[in-house]
Amino acid sequence: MGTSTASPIKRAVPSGTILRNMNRGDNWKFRAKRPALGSILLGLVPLIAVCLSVSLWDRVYPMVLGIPFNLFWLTSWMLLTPLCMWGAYRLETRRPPHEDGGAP
Amino acid sequence: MNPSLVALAVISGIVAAGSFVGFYAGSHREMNLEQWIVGGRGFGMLLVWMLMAGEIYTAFTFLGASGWAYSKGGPALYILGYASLMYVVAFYILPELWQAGRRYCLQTQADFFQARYNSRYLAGFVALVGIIFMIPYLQLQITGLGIIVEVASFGAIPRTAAMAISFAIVAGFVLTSGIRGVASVSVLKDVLLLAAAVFVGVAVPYAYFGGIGRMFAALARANPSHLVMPGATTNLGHTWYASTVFLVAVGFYMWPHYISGSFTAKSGDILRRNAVIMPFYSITMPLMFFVGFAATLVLPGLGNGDLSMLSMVRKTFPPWFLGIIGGAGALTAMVPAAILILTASTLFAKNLCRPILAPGMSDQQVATLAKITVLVITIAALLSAIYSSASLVGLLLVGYAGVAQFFPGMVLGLYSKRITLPGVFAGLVTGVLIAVVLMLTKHDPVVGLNAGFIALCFNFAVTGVVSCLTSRG
Repeated sequence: MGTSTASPIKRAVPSGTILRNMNRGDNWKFRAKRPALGSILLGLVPLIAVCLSVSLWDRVYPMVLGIPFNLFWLTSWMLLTPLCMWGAYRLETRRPPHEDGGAP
Repeated sequence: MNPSLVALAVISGIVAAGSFVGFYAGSHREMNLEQWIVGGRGFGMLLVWMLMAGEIYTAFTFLGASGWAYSKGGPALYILGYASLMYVVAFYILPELWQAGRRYCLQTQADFFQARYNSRYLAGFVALVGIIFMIPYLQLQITGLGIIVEVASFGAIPRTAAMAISFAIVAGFVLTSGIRGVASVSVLKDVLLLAAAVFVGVAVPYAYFGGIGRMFAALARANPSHLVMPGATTNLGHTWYASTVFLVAVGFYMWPHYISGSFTAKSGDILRRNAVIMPFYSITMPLMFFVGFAATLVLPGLGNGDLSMLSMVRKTFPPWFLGIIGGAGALTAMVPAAILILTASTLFAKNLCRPILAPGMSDQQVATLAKITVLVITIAALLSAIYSSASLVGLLLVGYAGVAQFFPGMVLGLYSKRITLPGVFAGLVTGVLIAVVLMLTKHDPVVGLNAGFIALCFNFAVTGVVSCLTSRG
């Protein structure tokens, strides 16, 4: 599903080759894919809601469902954060699959 | 029948069942280093979920969250804040890291630094810093477990004996089954813990106040300032909250064992989908707060806040139920401890000892050395747990202040080509030094901010400036 990352993986890689590859001094050719602007904006929503806006919601009243407001606010963002990130996931997976940075 | 015997029998039964699952999981597989630490990179959605979730619900969540709600009040809310945000960070970073991991056959965090910056000294330093800051986290699990058995046995079993026995078991299933054993025990412990948390979190307010709403109404009448920041403290206010939530959210996936854990996934997409849904899993955490808050009215004056959860359970429920909670709690300490021990020993053997001290070692010898290190690290953490008296949250925050310093080197290194070896080395040394000095001189928080956050800011600045000065073109 989604990206094409699920290609078959070599099981039981002999780890001797790993260190040899790593110590050969070849340059790091991996290029990480930058996230789409839309998905970054969606990730900023929970950051603002649970972290930066703390002085706006850190209060006991109004109590909601019998719970102090600050506790209620943070609990509801445990449900709303997945919604934001689901949107970001849709944006990320609609883009072309990952370039593994293989081109020289 | 003696209530402490009933509770202990149930706890032992649960721990025995968990240990059996742990030993069985790896018993029919050949354990080379790749199987041992990253499970052959073949874990699907469910096992990755269980492994990641298992790492979140630690002894800290179980005892420390209610403990801080009891002793500090409002500032404990930072736990709920980072519980959502850390997955936002994971969503962006882990799939890319996984890609790099597959391409360069990375098994540990230090492997990443080796491959990206091509320096065995940086990799060795990263391994060393990682191991040092994993010890307080491991100590936290051991202390938590000791508390559980002590309270559940009504003081009949001394803490030290309980810690020693259970960690002998942990070392045993780490040695035989590696990461597979850990993931399998996670399944059992999560089912138990979730059921226990929901039940206790709802039942305690009903038993003493007739409902959750009534409990908070009573709390708001008795001591309204306890429910908001800075609660019972003087210096843990809003700036502390925001800087701590930020530090923990970026630091969370910098733990060496979470990085190795994410390499177990079959694909990067599995990690991304997991990051989307994971916050749902934290939804039982507020229930732990209910118990801690309830205890401030029902059991005032406990010397150690970390005891509040189990003391409430012991006061409210019959001994067999205390046994179930205790057993779930014991597994909750043992699973993360197993992962910590597994990762720390691999880091030591593979990234510290072989490249720097003994370049001629074969893979077989590295695997053997890692297994010997399992025993050394277990004993070291056990001793420091026996001789230290720090609170669970205190231990955790020391660990985060340290491991968050890997963030610039990992994330900037992943996304940017312009970050250089001298930049990362200088930044990391600066960050770790500032964090350690501020923590050791008890300057945490400093000017209202989390000390680790301040160290991280300096780390970013130094990494950026030195990289600019040393990059060619």
